[in-house]
Amino acid sequence: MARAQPRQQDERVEDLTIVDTDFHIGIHDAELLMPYVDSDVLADKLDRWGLPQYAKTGWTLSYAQDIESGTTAHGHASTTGEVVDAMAEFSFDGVLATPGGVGLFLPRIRWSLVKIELAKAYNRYLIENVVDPDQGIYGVFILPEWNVDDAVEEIQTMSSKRGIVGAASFVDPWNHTAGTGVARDPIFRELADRDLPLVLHQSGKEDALMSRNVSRESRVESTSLAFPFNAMSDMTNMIMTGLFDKFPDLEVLIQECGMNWVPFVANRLDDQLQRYSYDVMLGDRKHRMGEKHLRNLPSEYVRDHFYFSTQPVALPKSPKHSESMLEMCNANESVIFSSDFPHGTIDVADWLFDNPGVNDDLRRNIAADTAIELFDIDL
Amino acid sequence: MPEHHIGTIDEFTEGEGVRVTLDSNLDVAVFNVDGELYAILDNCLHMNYPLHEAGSTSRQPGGVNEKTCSIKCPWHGLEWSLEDGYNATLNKNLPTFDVETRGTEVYLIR
Repeated sequence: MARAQPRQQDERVEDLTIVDTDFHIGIHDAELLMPYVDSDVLADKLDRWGLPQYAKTGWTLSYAQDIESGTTAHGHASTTGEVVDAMAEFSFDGVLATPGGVGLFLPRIRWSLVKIELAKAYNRYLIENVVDPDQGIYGVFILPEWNVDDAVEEIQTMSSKRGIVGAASFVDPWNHTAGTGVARDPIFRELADRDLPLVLHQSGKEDALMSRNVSRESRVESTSLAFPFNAMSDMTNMIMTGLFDKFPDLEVLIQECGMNWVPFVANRLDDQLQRYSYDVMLGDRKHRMGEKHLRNLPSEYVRDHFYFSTQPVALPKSPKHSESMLEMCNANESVIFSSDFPHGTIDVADWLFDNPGVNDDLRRNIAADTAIELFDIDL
Repeated sequence: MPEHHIGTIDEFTEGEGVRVTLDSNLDVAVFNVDGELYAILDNCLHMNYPLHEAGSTSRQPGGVNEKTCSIKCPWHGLEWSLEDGYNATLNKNLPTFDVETRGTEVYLIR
């Protein structure tokens, strides 16, 4: 009889270089951000009332899971030391620190001032308390996109900070980053010029679906469909409004929305564009560019501009289907590992070994190499 | 049936699980539930994650339920009976194994 280590400390996993591209920094306490809040008005609110509540959509997690679990299900990390400890536990060599706690739900707070000021405070907290490239900890700052001038200024400020490698925004029906057309082009120009990928994380979940079926009473319907639905919506809109024709250097990582839907959307868009392409020229951005058509097929924009983090990976059980799915998702170049630490939806890296559809090269690319190249990470 | 010596009773803390590996290739999670030892395959069918940390307080989705003699997977919460390995969501069973205690020595029968 031999005692074995927990699965996440599997020797195979320990030997592999792994970059987790969705590692949440839990901000659940206003006191963490207070030293970094510039607005006296917001500072007073935080001091008296704590972090703001955000709009929720009616689901009670414990009802669905029959347990108390949530955003601290597998731990908590809000400082460099805590991140280092978690990295050791899960054998991560590098992480992309992603907003967690209140940082994930800014789109669902009502006041633009509050959202913008909290975003800026989080960004400064991130720099001073979390990011440390020498220990493999890189970060994405929250884009205070509720005011374009603020967002541009923040990009200019944060892009010079060591270890900041991308800008965080959201796929959320309340907060479509690209949805206001050319008004936000200064943000995209600033990101593209500075080679900063836009990192889109799921924020609220269910709104996109709730209006479609009032009898929806299972959380599974919500979490299964709403995440990718929001991602499909945003990705499609970015492509069809010519965003990548105007900013050919812009790259986008979509987090926590899975990937199995990607080949469906790419092929569907290609097909439909070849039937109904003659109103692309009426779009605000394409019209102002003086162009009548997209320069490429939608599937080519998906291939060239988008990356997808793995969690929840949800590959087919059949090895043959799994291998085909990875190939159709262009996994060798476009799919990068994520855990979603410390949330109850966590994925650990052992699936990269247990899945027969993942060969050595693909494993290295998913686990780290593609992310290292995308974010210019130096481990 | 072959039996495997897997330790002494004090190595199995009440309300917690321990992974033991048989014949170098079979991982089994052994739980002490209210003084009784139960053994179940250490592999949740959801994502093949290990079950033996079900009693750990560091993983909220997990848990050991004395009343139902069941555990919840510490990773995502799928529930497994320790008596027969049954899971109602999947309507499937994981293999379970008999555990015998002789004095302070613990044996798994397989």
